[in-house]
Amino acid sequence: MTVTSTGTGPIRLSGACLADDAEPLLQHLLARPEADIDWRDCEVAHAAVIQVMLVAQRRLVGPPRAEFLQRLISPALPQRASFDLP
Amino acid sequence: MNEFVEQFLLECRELVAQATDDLIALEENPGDRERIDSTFRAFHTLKGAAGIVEFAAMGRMLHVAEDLLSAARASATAIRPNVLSECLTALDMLSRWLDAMEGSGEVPPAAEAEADQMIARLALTSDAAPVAVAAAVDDHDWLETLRTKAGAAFSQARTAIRYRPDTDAYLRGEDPLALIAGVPGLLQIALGLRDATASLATMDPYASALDILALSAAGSDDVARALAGARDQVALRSLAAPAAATAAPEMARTLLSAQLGLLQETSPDGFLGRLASAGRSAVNVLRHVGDGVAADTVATAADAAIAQNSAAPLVAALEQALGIAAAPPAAVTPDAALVAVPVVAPRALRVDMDRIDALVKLSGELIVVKNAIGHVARLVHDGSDPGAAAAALRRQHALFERLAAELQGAVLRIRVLPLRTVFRRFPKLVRETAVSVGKTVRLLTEGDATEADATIVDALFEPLLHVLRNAVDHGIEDTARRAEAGKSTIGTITLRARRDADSVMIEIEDDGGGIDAGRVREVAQARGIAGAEVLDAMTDAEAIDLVFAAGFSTAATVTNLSGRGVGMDSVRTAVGQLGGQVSIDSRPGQGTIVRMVLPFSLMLTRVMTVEAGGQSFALPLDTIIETTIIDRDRITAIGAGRAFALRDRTVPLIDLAETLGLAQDTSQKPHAKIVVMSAAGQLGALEVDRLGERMDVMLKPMEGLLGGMRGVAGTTLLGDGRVLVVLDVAEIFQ
Repeated sequence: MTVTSTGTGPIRLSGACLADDAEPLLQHLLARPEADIDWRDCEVAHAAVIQVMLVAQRRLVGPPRAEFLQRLISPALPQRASFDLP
Repeated sequence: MNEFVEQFLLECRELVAQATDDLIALEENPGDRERIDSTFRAFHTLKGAAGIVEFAAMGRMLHVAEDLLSAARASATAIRPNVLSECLTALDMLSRWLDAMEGSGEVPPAAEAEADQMIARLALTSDAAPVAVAAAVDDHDWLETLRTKAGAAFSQARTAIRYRPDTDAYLRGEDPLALIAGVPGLLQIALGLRDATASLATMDPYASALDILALSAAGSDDVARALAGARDQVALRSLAAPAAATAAPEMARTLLSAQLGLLQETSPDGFLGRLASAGRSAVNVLRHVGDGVAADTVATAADAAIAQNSAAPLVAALEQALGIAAAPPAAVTPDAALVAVPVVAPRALRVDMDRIDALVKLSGELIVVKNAIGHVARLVHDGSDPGAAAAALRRQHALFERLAAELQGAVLRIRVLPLRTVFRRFPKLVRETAVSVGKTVRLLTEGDATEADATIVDALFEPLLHVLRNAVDHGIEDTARRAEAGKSTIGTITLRARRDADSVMIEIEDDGGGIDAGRVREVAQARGIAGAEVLDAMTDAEAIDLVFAAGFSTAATVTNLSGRGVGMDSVRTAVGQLGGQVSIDSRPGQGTIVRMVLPFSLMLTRVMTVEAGGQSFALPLDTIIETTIIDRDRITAIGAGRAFALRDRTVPLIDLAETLGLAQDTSQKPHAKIVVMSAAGQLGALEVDRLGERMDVMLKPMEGLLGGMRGVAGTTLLGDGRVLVVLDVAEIFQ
């Protein structure tokens, strides 16, 4: 499981999130309109997953593990109210 | 400035303030329909106002913002945060234009270019106006979008990439981002959506809708090789090497000269705003002509100029960019710039109707008294009983006195504003400053309903901004250091205000690393503020206070001083001009508190006079709880001090004459005259020889050599020409 959502707390992305993970992520986001996305354990994110995150504009808990996501993709996603944890 | 423009500025400022309030409230609660309506109306009215003074750039920008808000109004979903933030940015820009107009009376020359940029940014946030966005993405050169997003990075780029994956790219098993990740020398990525109306509810997660823009430092051949797999979906542009500064095209030179002109204006209004605006415009112009190096130089100079509150560094950088020989540096010194920013009272003030009604009623009552006095004068003239006439006159005098006091109170209340009017601008500024230095900082505001004189509230913006900026930049440590120290990675700055008797206290507290007193000593010595022996003799607190010394902060210290100090001398100057004081309290590793104590009003203070040791002194009436006479045997000695019981509370008693060094023997008298006062939340009592009268005085703070005298709030002149010293009760009891 790379997309997990428990009752409270953020929706978590972990490991490699592939194209097939976009649909479950979308469903979790629709089910929980207030939930943040925690992508600290995310190592790879497929464009389809990033696309869902771009549309969702949720608060992101970062930084993500991968350098590419952290340096280039994170700034390209809506930055408002995002925060990074160690 | 003509009457139209004056009225325009007044109205626009109110509308901007109102729309800012609404937008900030919407950030908290994005679903608030009333706030959306109210914001929309404010933008609409602002747009109309722009038409009246023929401010085309402002009208164009607001039109786009209005469209966005209109779409948000029509939409059933909550307004999106990026729309709010861009609208707030647009209002900030508008405020700067208004500042510039207030100085020159003309539409600011840079407004056209700035408006275009803002429109592009607004268009990118749009999600409910598909036609407008499609046009914005297709017609608006995507290179421009990249240039705006990338900022300084753009000047290092050699290839610009636009990659729009086919809708079925995901189904074919492609990962467009993985492909982009393989491009050598990637500098920046900007992500957009081809279909701007996409929402979670309507989107298809299997259909690619991404519009990917990227910058690379590699040449276009290398980039093309990396993206060969999606050749038909990719557009590449080679970017020219940066042009030399001297080759700036004619239009750019004209624009830069205009910024120089703006800086050379002597009007003190909105000085910092002008600096920031000129700096930003010049940077944009230079970036536009591809001169990233000059743009960076000017950006650094603009920051330095703002930090020093002086136009000189920016003027020099602009002249360099224009290829003009630098002007003599003495032309604009930091000191001169400081002097040129006096406290300027707001020229106009909107007043609550109720407060005006109270004035009307009072003036009516004053006329009744006037008539009554006329009647008494006639009685005296007609030779009636002088005793009766005197009694009538005394009655009217008492009435007149009461009305005059009420009138004064009512007039003062007109001049009063809540601090919210200045505090509400800070959360956004703090957030932006924090982002620009790569920190996460939240600003808590307490007591923003505290009121103060309008002149003071208005003049507080710049000093508070300086202190907050310092707190973010130097006070709060970076994330790594905070984590090491076991603190939350999110820095907290608290902006606190409260009323304390006749003063308004403002505190800016951060939970950062505090100030390194040793480092302050080094810097102070290096800058010749004080000699080594003097510095060694200072306590840490005294040394830290040196950050307020003129000449302590220069641009160089911005980067290498691990405390704060940028423009703090200008903070002390500004607060001092308002009759206030500023102090700093730092605990290493725990944070720093900057305290400002400001008078509530620039006008009158009510005092009561007392006599001690044969001299008259005055005590602020607000600090006096009661006066009483007690038997001397009720006073008991406690340690070195004395105290007495007042309604079951023990109140410490100080002999005023003794404290002030006026020798006197009071033990002979059977009774003691006591003034019970409240100082810093504690009860205390002063023994005096005689209780005097109440009066309203214009308080002048002590200056020069006497400025540091403890226990004295200031002086005032009595009707007979004597100087009356007004005591600072809190300091006496310390």
